[in-house]
Amino acid sequence: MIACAGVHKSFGERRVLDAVDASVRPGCVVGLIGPNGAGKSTLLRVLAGELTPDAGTVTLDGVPLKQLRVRELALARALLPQSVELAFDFTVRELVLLGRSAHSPVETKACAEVVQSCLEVVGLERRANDLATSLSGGERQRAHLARVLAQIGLGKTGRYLVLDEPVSSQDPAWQLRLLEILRGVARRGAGVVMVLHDVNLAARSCDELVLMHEGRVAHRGVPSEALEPARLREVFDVEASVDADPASPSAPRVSFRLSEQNPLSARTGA
Amino acid sequence: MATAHRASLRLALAVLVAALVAASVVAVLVGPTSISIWHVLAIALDPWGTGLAADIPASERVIVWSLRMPRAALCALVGAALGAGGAASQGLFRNPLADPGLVGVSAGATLGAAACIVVAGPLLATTGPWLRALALPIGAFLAGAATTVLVVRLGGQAGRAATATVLLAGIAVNAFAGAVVGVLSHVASDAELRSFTFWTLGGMTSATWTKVALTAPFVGASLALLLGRARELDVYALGELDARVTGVDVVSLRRAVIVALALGVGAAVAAAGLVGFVGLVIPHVVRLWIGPRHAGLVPASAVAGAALLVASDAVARTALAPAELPVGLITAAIGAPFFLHLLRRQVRSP
Repeated sequence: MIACAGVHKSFGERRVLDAVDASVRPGCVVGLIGPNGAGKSTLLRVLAGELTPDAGTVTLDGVPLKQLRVRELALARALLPQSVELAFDFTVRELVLLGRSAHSPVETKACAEVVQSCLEVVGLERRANDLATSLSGGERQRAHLARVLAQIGLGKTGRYLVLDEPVSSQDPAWQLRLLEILRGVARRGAGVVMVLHDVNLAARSCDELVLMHEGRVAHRGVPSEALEPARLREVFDVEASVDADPASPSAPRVSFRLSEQNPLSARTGA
Repeated sequence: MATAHRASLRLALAVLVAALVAASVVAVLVGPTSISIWHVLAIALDPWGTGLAADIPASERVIVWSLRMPRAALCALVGAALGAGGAASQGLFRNPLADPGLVGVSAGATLGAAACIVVAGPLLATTGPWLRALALPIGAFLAGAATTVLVVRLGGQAGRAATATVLLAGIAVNAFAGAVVGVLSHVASDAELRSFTFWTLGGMTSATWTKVALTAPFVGASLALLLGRARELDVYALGELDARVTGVDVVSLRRAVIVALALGVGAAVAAAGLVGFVGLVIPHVVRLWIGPRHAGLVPASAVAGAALLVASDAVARTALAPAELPVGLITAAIGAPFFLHLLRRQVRSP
């Protein structure tokens, strides 16, 4: 389990995380949702050990993250940020292979097999020998997802995936496919925690939602409990109603509706 | 359009090694005195007790064994250090236009050489010939290493943009070293200035087996260090933060690469002066040929750099024979136009 307790984090004067508790268990998919600037990405980076909190603890199976070596941590969890730079002309296969570097100093046959499976999972096996720079935005996001999947061996027990908006550049079909893949990764025993902007996608694909608001956890729980109209209204500052998702009856479906007037149309009227 | 057309590493290495062997054979054969290939072979094999060189004139033996062969060997070592060092510094700065000199090693070595010629020169004149010959390379090497350490210290140890800070510190230290060199040039005598100018253009005129033996361990250590870190250097292309998340101890990697540069490039500059553009152009071309992975890029750049420098030196010795051009002129004459070509391409592509 990756868990954080009582985490505070400020950037300069601005307090971004305030007494935050969160955790992800093996076999579980956790979604972080909330409005812009709620602290979701910061919490994600804290859980991945990339960012050290000002106060509070972050542990991996009970061991504080800061006690782990860079390589030990890389073998246990992989982080996919919203955007990643890539210098030089690596091919898609070489890019995915970068995810295996913590496993052995040289490329082994096992490495190549894992890389091949990850490429197939994200539907890029035919682009394997193309330059990563030639991919479209959505394909590039999938290539990097394949890289972090390779890093955790496609999700073995006790491994964790930490993802910041992993489907933001995908078309509807690939959004659903990738989320299904991530559920599969969890079924294999890994823990998945991700920021998702689309509340309905989160409701459908996550076992637990962490609703963030102004640096605090407004609610933690199963989607049907977390997505209450009154709570959503307060957190997202917008009218919300909830019914059953026809595509996935066990999941709630949220509809948002603006209550205020469009400032532009108000101006034209004046 | 998108598929990467790449030569296999094995093929590329085979071609490059063949080129190095060919360049070395040519380099040992050509020169103002023409010596037949059989005599050259006999002389080259003589130390193994073949006895073939017994009836070859002593003058030919001296030319081949004591002049041309150590010279080719030193060229190969210097070229290998610059090629591999260039590949590693481009990996470290994540920029295909980076040069190993960015970490200050070349500027420091230049300052060391200037100090040896101008300040220590008069003192050394009173000592033995052996010390006189080696004081300059040793001084240049130590100054290059010291400058690199200074740049890394000034650039800080960790933090988000540590590599960028190292780069900026390198620029500042380079400028400062240049200023001190300027002052030393100003107070130098005409003869000292001439000998310093020749050093800065790069040259192999003073190649001896002793110099080869002194340079080889440093170049070897540098190559070994870089090859051991090849896979981590690949991951570094993701940027410092993401490389760290992927399992690379970036502080240790950065330190290792810079130590390797101080050893390899420092020894190369100390032995041969400033040989421009090998460290910039060779890795860039090799990367286009075999791809960016450092496990192949570093050794292939080393062999390609060696071959280029051995060949360039052969040209430098024979183009205006009996006069000799500094080898740095040849490599810069090839390298500068090529660099501009790369720069234009880089500007055009997004």
